[in-house]
Amino acid sequence: MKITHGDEVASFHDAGGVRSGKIGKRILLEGDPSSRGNFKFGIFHQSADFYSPRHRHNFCQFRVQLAGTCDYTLSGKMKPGTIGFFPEGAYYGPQGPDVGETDNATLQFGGPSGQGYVTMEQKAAAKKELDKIGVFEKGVFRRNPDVPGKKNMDGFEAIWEQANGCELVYPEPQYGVPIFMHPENFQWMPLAGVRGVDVKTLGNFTDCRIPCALYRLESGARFTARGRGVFLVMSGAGALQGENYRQFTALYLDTGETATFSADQVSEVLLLGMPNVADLHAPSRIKASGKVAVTA
Amino acid sequence: MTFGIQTFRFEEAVGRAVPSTRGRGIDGAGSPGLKVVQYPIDTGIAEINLRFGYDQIGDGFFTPRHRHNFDQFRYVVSGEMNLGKGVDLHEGECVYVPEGTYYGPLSQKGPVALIVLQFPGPNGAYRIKDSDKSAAMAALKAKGGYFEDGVYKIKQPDGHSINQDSYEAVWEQHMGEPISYAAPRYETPIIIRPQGARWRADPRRPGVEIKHLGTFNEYGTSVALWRIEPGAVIASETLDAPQVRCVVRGATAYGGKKLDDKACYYIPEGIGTEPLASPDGAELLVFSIPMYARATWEKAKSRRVAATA
Repeated sequence: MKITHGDEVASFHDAGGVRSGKIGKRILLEGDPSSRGNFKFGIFHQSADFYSPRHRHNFCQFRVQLAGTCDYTLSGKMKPGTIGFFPEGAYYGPQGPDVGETDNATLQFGGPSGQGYVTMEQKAAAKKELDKIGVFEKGVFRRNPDVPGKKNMDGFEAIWEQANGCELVYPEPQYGVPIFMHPENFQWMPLAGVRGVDVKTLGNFTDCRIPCALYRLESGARFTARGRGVFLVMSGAGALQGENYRQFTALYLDTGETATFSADQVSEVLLLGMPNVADLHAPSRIKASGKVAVTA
Repeated sequence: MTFGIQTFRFEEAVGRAVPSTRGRGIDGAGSPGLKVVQYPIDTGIAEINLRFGYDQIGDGFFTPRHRHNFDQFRYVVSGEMNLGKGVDLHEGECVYVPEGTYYGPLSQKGPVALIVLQFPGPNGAYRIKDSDKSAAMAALKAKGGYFEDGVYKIKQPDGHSINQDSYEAVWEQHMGEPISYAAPRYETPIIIRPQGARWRADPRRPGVEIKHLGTFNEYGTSVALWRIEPGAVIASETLDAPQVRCVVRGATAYGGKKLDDKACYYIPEGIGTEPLASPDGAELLVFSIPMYARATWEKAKSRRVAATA
């Protein structure tokens, strides 16, 4: 279990960023780098010049649009309040440029394929090496002409391969496109057996049944959170495991852990779930071919 | 039809031409129509008119960009289905189109065969029957209008023309009230690619593996594939939520009846099933619709009535 308060975390610019344009990052929670279930959760401010080409990842993401509209072009737009589930292996974007300033909360995590999630430190180290043999331009890594290897690669892909020393083989996507949810259009349902708490179940995705749900606590209500994922306080105030929670307090629970929110004010808590580590596939790395083999 | 557990072999379903408001040209004459085989499922609740069927759509069929006031799933049995510009659904893939979410235009290239489930969604709007459609279409034509490229067009006395989505026009004609759509819960249809999902043992049913493909909306409407090992028997069980099961590979046996290719089960909540066997193995497409549990439906209906009072 980990608890972090968003207002206590400083913002910085990531040296390992591979896209163009600036992103201010506040990293609230991180997982275990040695685990296939590694993750990173933060609140990000994207400057108006941010650009990312159409691409995909070998991990999953939830994105919560907090301010501004994020235009993913072919994948649709995320307006404030929209929550997106970006499945591993599914293409999205391009994103930008000239989309204005935007804020979002993003959880990136090792998905069902078990390919894990590269840490910021690993990414920064890999980028430092790649900077010696090429340039990152508009989200694409362009290798210098005299350097052997693929000339143009998606920036993330180049970083991942540099960090892992093998070719990235993307998992087959379980959905064709990112899933954008509009929580305001779901109905509140009473949470069974818990007085004063309502829930909007937004979905359960992939064979790992990754949940996404919004909970509303009346003032005075108690809600015991459980299930692996990040619980983000969207509004309200109260107590959480002996600490005062408020907007953008983030709680990480591992499988089997619980934590109780006691609301002093009407509160909304968003669950961005993650798969149980035991449910993740264990990819076998075939060093001879330089590929990560993943079978469904 | 007696309400309860219902099973239909494909041969027991009803094949017929469905009055479609879609297609190219006047009355869809410029493109092949729909061939539909429908399974006469009775949910036991009069206002839940769901359509479960096997649809065959021909090359060139066209539907403009539109939305519905009901939910639907489509699963591709063979061929490829176009869902919009650059978006195609391949054999073995599935799409969930939630009520209120726009999709299309659909411009079919080549023939496609689909398993289709259309059903009232969380907002409970009535899904009109195909038999109702014929009468409504005739009435709309009698007013002087016509259907072209999936749009109902009619000239008003003052000379200006009104164009309306054809399904919408038919619904309003039949119901005698303006249609209303649920604000969309999801921005786009959800395209499901089961080949990327892994089979996982079902802890409650020995010999069964499940690919969970997705659970949606506040009621938990879900879709999954079940794989039954050869020789396995699913013991008697009582479901919490109604299910539509369709055999997409192999064969099953239930109550002395062989249910194979495209056979369908409707299993309401709260009624004990008989054992379901599969001597040689089978794969089932399983839709679970918790909001159709009678108590849940009645509660939701009261809530809707209270909200509009």
